[in-house]
Amino acid sequence: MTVLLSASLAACSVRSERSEILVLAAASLADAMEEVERAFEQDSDVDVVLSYGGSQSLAWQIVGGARADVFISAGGSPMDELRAEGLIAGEPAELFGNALVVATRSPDLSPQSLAELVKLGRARVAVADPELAPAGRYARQALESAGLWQPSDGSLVFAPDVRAALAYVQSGNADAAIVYRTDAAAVEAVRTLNIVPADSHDRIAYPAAVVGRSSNQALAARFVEYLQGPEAQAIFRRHGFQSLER
Amino acid sequence: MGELDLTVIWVTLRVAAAATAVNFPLALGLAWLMVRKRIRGRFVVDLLVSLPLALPPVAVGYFLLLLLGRDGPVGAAVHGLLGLDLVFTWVAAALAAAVVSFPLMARAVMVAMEGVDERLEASARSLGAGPIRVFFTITVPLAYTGILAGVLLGFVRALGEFGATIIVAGNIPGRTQTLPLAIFTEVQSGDSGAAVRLVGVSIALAVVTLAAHNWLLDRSGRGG
Repeated sequence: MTVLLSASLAACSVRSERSEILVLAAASLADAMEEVERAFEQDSDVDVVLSYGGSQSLAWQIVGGARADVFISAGGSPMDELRAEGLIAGEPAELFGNALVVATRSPDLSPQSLAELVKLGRARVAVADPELAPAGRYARQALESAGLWQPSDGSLVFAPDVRAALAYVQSGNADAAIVYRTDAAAVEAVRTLNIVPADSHDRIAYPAAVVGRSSNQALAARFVEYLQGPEAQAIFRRHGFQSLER
Repeated sequence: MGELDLTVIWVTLRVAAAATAVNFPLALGLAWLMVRKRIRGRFVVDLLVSLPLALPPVAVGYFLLLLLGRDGPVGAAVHGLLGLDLVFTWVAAALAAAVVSFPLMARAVMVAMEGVDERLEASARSLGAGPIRVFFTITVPLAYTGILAGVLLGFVRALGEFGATIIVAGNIPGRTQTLPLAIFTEVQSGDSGAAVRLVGVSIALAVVTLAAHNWLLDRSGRGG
């Protein structure tokens, strides 16, 4: 008992000596961020605490007054909203990019373009809800620029997030889904069709920034810096995210 | 995220147990006021108690964030008194689980108390027992089965709480990440194998909880 108590006290005192930063990161980055955290902690005495959620809900937490130090968003719009409210310190750094692909399970579905896919008529295509997820916003832009955005004709199915859109394909409830390449790659038994032109939608970027009300601005800035450095970038690439041309 | 981490089970059990422990005396007290005291404004109290059932948990979570955040009335007071932040701690997760699961527990306890014959309480009083003694030696034992069902409902709901928790406590592995939050993270980061394993653990927890409930019921049946 005494041993336990003193051990936990020791743990407490060690913790208080180490400085700590709280990083709110998009849940789709969990695997990569876990590695980045380990690498960063190895060569610094900073304790990185990660909390995961949908980018939009993380932005909500910050608006609601949650004390966090760094925000990493999947897609630019939650970050833009926070900046508009003056809740971000300095300029966000774009860490890496992603691409949209069409994921399908059916072997006889091999359209050469989005138009062909949607105009098949019978195909039900799942996308993330543009109101809820940045992935859905990009998918809408891609469909709009091909003149194919007709959500009312029943060929499009909205999912709450990009993973759910993919799950509709996996479970056979949709014939295809427009999702991030990293999501499609993480799932077995799904074919990836590269038929979404990169210039048909805004550039897909994952920005990171120091939260304006962070009480640890200097450390937070150091972590954001680290995210852009070679070690972190190598980890992100290994997880399928593409480096951005700078 | 690799293999199963036992801390996620520990965090889940601690959060659900704390939520249930906070709710239990409140549910007993409230049920007694509502059923036996017939306080004024019963309808309004009833409505307030049931509201977390009707509201989406995300909305409850956001409300709690405003309340418990450092700028919120409760959060500011706690920070002033103890120098602690509630948001992003397991305490916040327990409070979120408590608020969301309270209606289920309180309703079941109320129904159980309604079912107790008031004449038995009256005769205990006529023999000189005070109201507290009557409550603990007559009302609670007679309503035991229903009260236990309420505790079970509340605890199981707390085990599965997601929406309010992720807003107010965050989703921090090892600290505030409960099983539902871990499942969400695995699904979002594409590890369906790990997600399925965690679902298996959730089912196992539910089975154990139900078995404990049934054991307590049986024991009371034999004892009484």
